[in-house]
Amino acid sequence: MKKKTLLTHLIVIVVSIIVAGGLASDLAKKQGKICVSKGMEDSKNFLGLNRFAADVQWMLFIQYCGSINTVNAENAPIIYEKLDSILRKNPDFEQAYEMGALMLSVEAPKKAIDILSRACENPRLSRSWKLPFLAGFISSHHMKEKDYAQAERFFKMACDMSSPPEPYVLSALIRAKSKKLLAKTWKNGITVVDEKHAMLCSLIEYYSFSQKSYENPSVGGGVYPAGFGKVTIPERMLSLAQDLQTQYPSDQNIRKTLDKVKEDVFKGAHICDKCFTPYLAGEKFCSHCSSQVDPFGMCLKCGALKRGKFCGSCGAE
Amino acid sequence: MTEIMAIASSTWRRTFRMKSVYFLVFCVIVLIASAYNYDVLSIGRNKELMMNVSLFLNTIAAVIVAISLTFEIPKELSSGVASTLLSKPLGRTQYLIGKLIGTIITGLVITGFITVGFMFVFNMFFEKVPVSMLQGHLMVMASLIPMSAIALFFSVLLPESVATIAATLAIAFSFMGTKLHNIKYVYGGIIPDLNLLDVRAEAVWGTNVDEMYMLMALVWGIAFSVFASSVASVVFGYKDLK
Ligand SMILES: [Zn+2]
Ligand SMILES: [Zn+2]
Repeated sequence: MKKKTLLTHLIVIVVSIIVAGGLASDLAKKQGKICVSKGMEDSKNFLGLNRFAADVQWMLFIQYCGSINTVNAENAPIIYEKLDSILRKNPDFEQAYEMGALMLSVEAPKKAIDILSRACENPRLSRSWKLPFLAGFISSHHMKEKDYAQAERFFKMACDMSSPPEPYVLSALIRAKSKKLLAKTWKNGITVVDEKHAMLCSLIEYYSFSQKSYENPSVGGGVYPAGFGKVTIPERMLSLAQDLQTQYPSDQNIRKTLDKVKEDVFKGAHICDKCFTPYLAGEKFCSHCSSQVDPFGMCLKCGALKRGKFCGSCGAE
Repeated sequence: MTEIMAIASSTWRRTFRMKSVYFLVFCVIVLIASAYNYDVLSIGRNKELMMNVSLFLNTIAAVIVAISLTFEIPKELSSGVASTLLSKPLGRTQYLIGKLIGTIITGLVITGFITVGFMFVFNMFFEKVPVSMLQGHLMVMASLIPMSAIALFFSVLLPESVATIAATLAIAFSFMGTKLHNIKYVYGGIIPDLNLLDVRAEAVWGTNVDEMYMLMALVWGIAFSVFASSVASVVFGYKDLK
């Protein structure tokens, strides 16, 4: 080879290394944004076989599931291993997460949650709210030591992923929150007395959160409705407050909580201080407990019921 | 230029004269179509399965075409096909470029057939082929360029059978990604990363890759193959040919 030819070759080599190397670092960065789940995938991707191999393993897994009668302590680790292998090859495999977690939920709830947590970390599955919901359900129902704090976290995630969340997801979130609070100390040194009390505390927390989400939907995962099913959350709180008031008339914890409800939720609302029964315009005494209430909607001059800006009896403003 | 094109065209002509090539392409398309029957076995995942199978088989086809260089070049050298060209001063470089281009074109035609076949089959069983799937297949086709260059490099560096194994392993390992991301110019410049052209997961998921990325990846493939074939050309230039 002539010297001149060799030199040309060397120049071409150096230039191509610079171009290819520069482009590759750039591409690698860009790819991180496009291929969001690649980091979760098994890097031993021989010939790029992963996804196809995951499909084959999935079919073999289904065959295996057909061959066993029940999931028991013996085969649960095998099921987990098979699933783990599939999901490492294809971390976007929604169906495998769901079916696998359902199979393992009773026998190996921790493993089931482990699988589902991985799904929750995958940005590509950020709309699959059923997966964290399932994880929350397993945490609060199937774990030997029920972990309500964990359940709450998962339910919250499920709510965030679905906007607006399904009513049953919301109610699961609130229930997990209240179970978590049971027999513990809530804010301001309030010790939670019983389940109803826990539910009320949980609703107060949720309500303030929901109000905030209305003001600024970008903070949480969107807007959280202030009601689900047939009753609104303030209605539910009112009836809980009424029950608690009758049940524990002299408990300080209840007293403080009820004060907080009045302050946070029913400020300016027309509700009897003693028994939490709403009263109507013109009423001077509570219709439920006969204690005096602060009347409203009456003419200051003659005491007649006012329907508009001016009094219908005396014409005063 | 005429010499390069003469070598290139003789390469693809020889391949397309073989009837077995068409038969194999047909078999691949039948295999892709057969994925449709696995709807019960896969609990309704036969659509994804068909997509994954098509991308995987197309990749394999591309690898096989690229690897064919490693046994074609030694065979041609020993049979003295291009001896007149090889004795000229620039002849060896031209020969290598011709072989590379010829192989890439052969591969593009074959993977193109498979892509079209897949589109036809998918359209028949499911719905219109999503854009992302077409992109995925186009990127597989683009990966032929660096793959062929890797094969070319090994075919002049190593003796025949060793070259085939080495090239296959090198291509296979290039999909695994490297831990060299931080070493600028070594990563991608000297050590190839075929992962950069692998958007198959996105293709199946339905994420469209932006054209700029695809274009850049194509340019990377070309730049890398210029590097690999220049090195091959230097090695080949000093080789003692009988
Ligand atoms: Zn009252
Ligand atoms: Zn009046």
